[in-house]
Amino acid sequence: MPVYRAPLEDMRFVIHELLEMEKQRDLPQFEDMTPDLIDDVLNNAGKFCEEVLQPLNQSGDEEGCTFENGVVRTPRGFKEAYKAYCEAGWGGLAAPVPYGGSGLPILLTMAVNEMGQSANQAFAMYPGLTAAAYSALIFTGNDWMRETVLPKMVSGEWAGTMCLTEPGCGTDLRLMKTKAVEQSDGTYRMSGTKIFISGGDQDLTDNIIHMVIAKIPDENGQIHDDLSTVNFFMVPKFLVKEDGSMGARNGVATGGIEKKMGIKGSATCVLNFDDAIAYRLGPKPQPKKEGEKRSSSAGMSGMFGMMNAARLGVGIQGIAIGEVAYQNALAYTQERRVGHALTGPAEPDKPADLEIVHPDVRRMLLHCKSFVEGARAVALWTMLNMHVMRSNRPDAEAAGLMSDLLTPVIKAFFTDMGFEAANMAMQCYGGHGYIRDNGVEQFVRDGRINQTYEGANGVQAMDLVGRKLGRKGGVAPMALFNTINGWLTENEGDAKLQQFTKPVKRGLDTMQQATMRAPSIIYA
Amino acid sequence: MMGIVTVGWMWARMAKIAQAKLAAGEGNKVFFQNKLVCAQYWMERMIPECSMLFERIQAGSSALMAFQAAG
Repeated sequence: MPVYRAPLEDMRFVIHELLEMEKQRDLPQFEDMTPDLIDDVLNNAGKFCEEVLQPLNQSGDEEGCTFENGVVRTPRGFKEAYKAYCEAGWGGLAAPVPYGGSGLPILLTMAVNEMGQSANQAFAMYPGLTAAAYSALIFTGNDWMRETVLPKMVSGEWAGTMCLTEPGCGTDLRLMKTKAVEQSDGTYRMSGTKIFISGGDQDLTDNIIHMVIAKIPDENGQIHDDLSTVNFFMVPKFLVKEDGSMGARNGVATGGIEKKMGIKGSATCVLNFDDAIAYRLGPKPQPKKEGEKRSSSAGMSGMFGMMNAARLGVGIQGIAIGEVAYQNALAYTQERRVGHALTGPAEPDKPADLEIVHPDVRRMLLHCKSFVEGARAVALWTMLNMHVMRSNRPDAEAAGLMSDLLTPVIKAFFTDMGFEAANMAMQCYGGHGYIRDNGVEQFVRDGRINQTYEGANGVQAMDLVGRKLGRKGGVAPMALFNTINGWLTENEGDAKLQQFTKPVKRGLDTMQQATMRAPSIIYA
Repeated sequence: MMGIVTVGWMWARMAKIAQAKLAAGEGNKVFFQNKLVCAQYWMERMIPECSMLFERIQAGSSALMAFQAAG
């Protein structure tokens, strides 16, 4: 049976020692972040993930979700765990206090999120997507939505989804067919099909609030293969009455769920929108002027905000799957006996030494551990930057540039490495890793999706190289180079540290040369 | 490459803290010793990938684009 212990000691080390939280108390949302409060949140979250979520990970994978008579059911135990999750208030950690949340900094909620993803990625996706949806609603919703819908999503009573992909388009949203037609009362009627919708339906919550992108037809009723008429909508499964209670069923039906490689406890749905009542979010789109070229509409901005948060969340999933896979490999290699150490038997009284004496096994374990802990430090430092960028500090602008720059890196590099770590952990089990009951092959299957969803990793690379490296004369990579270089210069006199600072300097120089050359090679 | 370098920088920062903690005899000794081991691993095993990746970037994409799907 697989195990999971929340990596509390390492999280505390990163937050308190590396990021020096006590020196960050001037930042918005950090005033009350005492070391005791932070440790309490981490301890309680870790305990919940270990005791409630992790025990359902393997059974949820075996059982999967079911779809019968138009109804989706999650694996046994998910409903009770979800109720406990909501009652403990975990769903609303990041939400502002006025909406019933805890208003905790994203730095802390991402650490909590990592534990949930390690313990049970399929389960953690339901509240994870709800949080992404309510965050988007906070920024783009109207007052009535904030008053009636938001508190229910924050408490977890209702869930949320993100609906982007369609049968004919995933990455290339220009080709989208789903349309929303404006009605005389200002609402819209939406028709079309969305696929691969995580949590598109489930039996955990009474209502589901879908965040959907769709096209508004032009005056001739036509939609075009571009982004100019794409807008962002809220479409509830059950309509919401003025007092916030649930009304009639809306025109959203579940067409089916996908059979898939991993995250089997997460229902991946086909959603059919048939004249569904939809509410447009964000600023009202202005009619296109004669001769005006428009690549995307203002209505897309809300979706991009949601996508950016989701990309960071997926990067965290990469770390999370690496962590739990590593823990299990480490345990196994300290139990299993095979051969003798190359330098002679470590335990001559036993027929064989523990597997962990072997260099290649140690290489795999260290690869996982150095990735997980190093990546966690980068991820949480980036979350800190997302707070610094909203402050009055002199480095606010640089912090914003670096978090924007590193978002595709965190998504792509950490999910590639997370998958590799899961695969190596499985290798440490020998043939037993391939056997389902031992639980480690599930991490390989579950972690595989992280490289693909929220923008395939190749698309992240295009975002990095095509958009972010060259923008405004390369101001974003310059901010990162200057920050790392500044630290290296400060520490270059430390002789004991040179075995670390010199290689980083070497890597940094290579990266600087590469970023100067890369766009010119690619676009030559 | 940007990921390898940024993680590498974090390892250097964590190594600095670990060295100080060990010198002062504070905290969990094995935890901090392992921090130094991981930092060393990253410098020796992962940072060298930067020059490999740079060579690859410089090679450009002509092979990728010359490939013909039919035939």
